[in-house]
Amino acid sequence: MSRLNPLTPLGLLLVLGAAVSFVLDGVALVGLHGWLVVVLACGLRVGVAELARTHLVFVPFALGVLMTNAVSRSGAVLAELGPLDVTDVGVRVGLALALRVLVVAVPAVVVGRRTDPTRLVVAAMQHLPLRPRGGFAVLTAHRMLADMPQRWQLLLAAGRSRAPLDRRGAPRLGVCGYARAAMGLLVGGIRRGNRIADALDVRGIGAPARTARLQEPFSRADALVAAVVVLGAVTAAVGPSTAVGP
Amino acid sequence: MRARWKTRDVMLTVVLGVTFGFLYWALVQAWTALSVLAGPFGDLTQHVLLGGWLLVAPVAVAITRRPGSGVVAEVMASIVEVVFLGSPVGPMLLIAALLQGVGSELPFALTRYRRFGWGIYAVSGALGALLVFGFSAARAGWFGSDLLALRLGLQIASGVLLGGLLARVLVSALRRTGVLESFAIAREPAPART
Repeated sequence: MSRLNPLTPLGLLLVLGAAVSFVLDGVALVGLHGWLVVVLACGLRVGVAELARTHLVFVPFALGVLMTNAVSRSGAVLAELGPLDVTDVGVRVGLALALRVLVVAVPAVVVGRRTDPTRLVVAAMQHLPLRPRGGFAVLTAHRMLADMPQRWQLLLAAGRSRAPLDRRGAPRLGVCGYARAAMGLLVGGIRRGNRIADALDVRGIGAPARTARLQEPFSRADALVAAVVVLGAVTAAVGPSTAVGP
Repeated sequence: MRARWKTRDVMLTVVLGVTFGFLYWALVQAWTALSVLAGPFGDLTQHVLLGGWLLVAPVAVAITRRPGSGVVAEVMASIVEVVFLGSPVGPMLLIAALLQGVGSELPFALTRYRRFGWGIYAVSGALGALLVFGFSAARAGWFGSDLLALRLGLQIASGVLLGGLLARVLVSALRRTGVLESFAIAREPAPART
């Protein structure tokens, strides 16, 4: 992955997301997911533990999708849950949609975790219409994002120290407390943004012509990886579903 | 509008995007909890919170008054979600965000970024919700489903309330803090305090 242009895996993910949007065939999705896991495990050397953990994160969401679809579609009734009918079409579509969640989300998260933000922004500045001012703003914002959880916790802690106590003596923050913390996060962020913008201006970041030290060219490896991944994905999706039949 | 974007405008739009991306992520946590609690209707409860996703575009537009700022902020927020925090919707969220941003910004653009009343905010939320509804309906195959009208109603209502009117409340609250003094919004007289 370090030898690739960071835009290549991202582009592949976008293509994957777009292509999968029109697939409701469970068998094809299973095949596709199998191939993607292979790519992640061999190509990016993602460990089994990390893969499993990433899958687990999305299981509740996928289950929610499955359950709603199972009871909300017409078709032959398989079971009745109170006023709701579980239908075969519903289960099939629900399963496909739930699978789609995994197919799309797991590679996105894994690749996202391995993408170096600086390289990505540099590549975007060189190959996409992203101007340096925007690029540096994005990079700075990324730094801000990195310590945002900490600031968020700090604001919540500050809120708790002022919040009324419940019967057991624990502070009750409530929705208002969270709203106040969100407001604090925003205001603090805007303030820092203003200061950073001035600092960037002083360093002439908006100058019309710039040279760049870092380069992110596309190489033959990018084309090769893209071709292998796409061909493998098509084979893995179409192969089993034609073998099983519709 | 006619002037170029200032660096402060760029920075503010990006910061708004990132902060909301983070807050959306917090919202997603609530969302997932809600959808598991509600069992078979989990998918539906998610529509109730949908408007929250539309919030950042009108806020960015109202503060900077630059064409495109809403779209940029919305897309930034979605990038944060997809790339750094990991959202179950995946990269297609970028497209959804683009549509949301365009939908939310359209009413402001049609009034040439001059009118910022309650009505415009409400239309902005509704339009954003409508566009993204069409997109997700096509993706998830909702058109054949029994719940189409209910889904649409919930999403539009949520868009108007959380994605439209709440944005105006938020903007005026932000303005009172004084951090917006150097932006285009400060050029119009402050509304009476309510």
